[in-house]
Amino acid sequence: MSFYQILKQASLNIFSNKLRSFLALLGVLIGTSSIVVLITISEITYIESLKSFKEIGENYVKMDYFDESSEAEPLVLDDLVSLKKLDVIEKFVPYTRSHNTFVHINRAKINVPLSGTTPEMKEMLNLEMQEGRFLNIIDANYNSIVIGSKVAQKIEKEIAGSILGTVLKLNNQYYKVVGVLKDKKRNRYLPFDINNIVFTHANALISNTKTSLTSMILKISDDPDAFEKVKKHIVILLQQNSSKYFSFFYSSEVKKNLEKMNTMFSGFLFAIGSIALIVGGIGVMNVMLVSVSERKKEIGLRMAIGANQMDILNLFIFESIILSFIGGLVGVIVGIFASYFIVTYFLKVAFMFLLFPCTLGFLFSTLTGLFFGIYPAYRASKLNPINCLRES
Amino acid sequence: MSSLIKIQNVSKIYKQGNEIFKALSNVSLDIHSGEFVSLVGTSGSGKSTILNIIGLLDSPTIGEYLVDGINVKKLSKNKLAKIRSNSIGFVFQQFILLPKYNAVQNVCLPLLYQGYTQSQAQSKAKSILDKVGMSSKYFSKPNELSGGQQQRVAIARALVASAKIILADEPTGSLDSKTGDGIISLLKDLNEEGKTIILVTHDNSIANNCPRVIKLNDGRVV
Repeated sequence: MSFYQILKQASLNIFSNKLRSFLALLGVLIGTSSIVVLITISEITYIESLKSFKEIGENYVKMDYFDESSEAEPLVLDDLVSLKKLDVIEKFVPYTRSHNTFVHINRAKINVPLSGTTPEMKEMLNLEMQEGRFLNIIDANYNSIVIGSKVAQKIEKEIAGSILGTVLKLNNQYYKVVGVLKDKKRNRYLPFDINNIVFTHANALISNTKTSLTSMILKISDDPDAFEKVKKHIVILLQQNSSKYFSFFYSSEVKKNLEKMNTMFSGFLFAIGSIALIVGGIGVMNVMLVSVSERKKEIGLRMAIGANQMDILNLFIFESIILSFIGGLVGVIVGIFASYFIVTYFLKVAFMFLLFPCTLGFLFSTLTGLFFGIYPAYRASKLNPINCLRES
Repeated sequence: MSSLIKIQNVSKIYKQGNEIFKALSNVSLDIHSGEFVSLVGTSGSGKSTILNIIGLLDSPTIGEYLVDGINVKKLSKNKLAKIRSNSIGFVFQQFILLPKYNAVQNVCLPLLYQGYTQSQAQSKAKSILDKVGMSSKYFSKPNELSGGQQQRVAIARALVASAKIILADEPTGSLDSKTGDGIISLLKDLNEEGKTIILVTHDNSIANNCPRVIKLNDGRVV
């Protein structure tokens, strides 16, 4: 019997048992769509995190340290001069962890996270100005501040006018607004939410409030040992100032881990999806076994009029393949829509169509159909035609 | 003239648990091309077993069976399916038409297993349906046909692949006597055209009308 004929006869049977066929392919549909959804979402999440990485770039190091002794001398910019001599460091920017301070305007109390840093911060984080200018060297001796766009908006709402040039009272000191930063998308690898920060020069802040530099961002060279060298140097340097705890974030290393995690996670999600699909496949097998025992008479007749075992085997295998093919196809479509919905409304990032999860889900569903169809079809082909024909 | 069907000292023994049941014992039988034979006997006499052996659905436990001079003993299942497909047509008491297929599709089925294309098979099926008097019912499903009409479709299906041998197992058993007579006379017409017909029946009036009657009792030819 030709391929086309087998296909036709197999589909005829599937479509004449609509409800049962639908229930059988429902399992495959759910399994396939879970594979598509899980892998699509994991890939999109991964691509999104890579985007954040791209922004901060390779060889980016963030260092924080914590000093628990209260009598310790605050760390100031001059203490870090020796870092400039280290050739594996391309550039670095120290800063103080942002500290919540409040501005009182009219009756409003506006939170201003204040961080002291140096003019190099602009270049390091690729900051752009909406108005005014960023900090410069001279600001070391003046109380100048540069404000994030959200903070600026909140204050401007109260003062009803442009914030540039105004003077704000923070921690009993007066600071002049010299610039407003342009809006920037949040990036979880940056130490600040750029829209919600107020920068002042570290020198000014330290002399005003006796805070200490707590952190720095460094751009290091491509040298594979660069990170270890920098880490060692900083630890030695800062321990002279009796600082105790260090934490380092090294983008290249974290990215490597992220890649590893993604591979593992995708594999894990695929395994979960596969379980759903295998359950669906068992559903197909169940339906096919029922179908075989119900159609013994037909099988006996087909054998009597000249079908050989292969013909019977093919007929039933094709039925289960068609079932899971349709289940897989619809499952992929449902999966695409479901992941679009989840990505857009729950993860709130841009959806992108990825071919890989769809191909994987579809391929795997058809294979499941083939696999779980073999046993019922084999049983059908081994039936004794005399017993089959005697069935009533 | 050599026999079309040659059964030599055939016994068929079934084992069910510890019990041994002898369905046929030492049966020898020759049927020539163009004969019209009826097999009669009470239920359990072995007439169905012998029909199954002739139809290559079953094989003898002991003894030889030659169809058209070929000893089928050592043939593979696929080879047997091929001979069934080319030389033997079955007609059953319960008709056994596929319920979702119309008359033409049912009749086409043996041809499709022989590798005919859809269109070749259809035109052949239609001409055979014309021959058995079913030209107006090409596209009727079995549940739209009467018993006699269904049996005519089933006969068409047995004929369509140009089988030399028609094996009819109680073909009138589910029909009223008038419709049954129509079927018998159709089989007689086919016999006159040269088909070898082997008819299993327990209806003596039908058997007595046949040129040759083989009577079986307790697994033996009487």
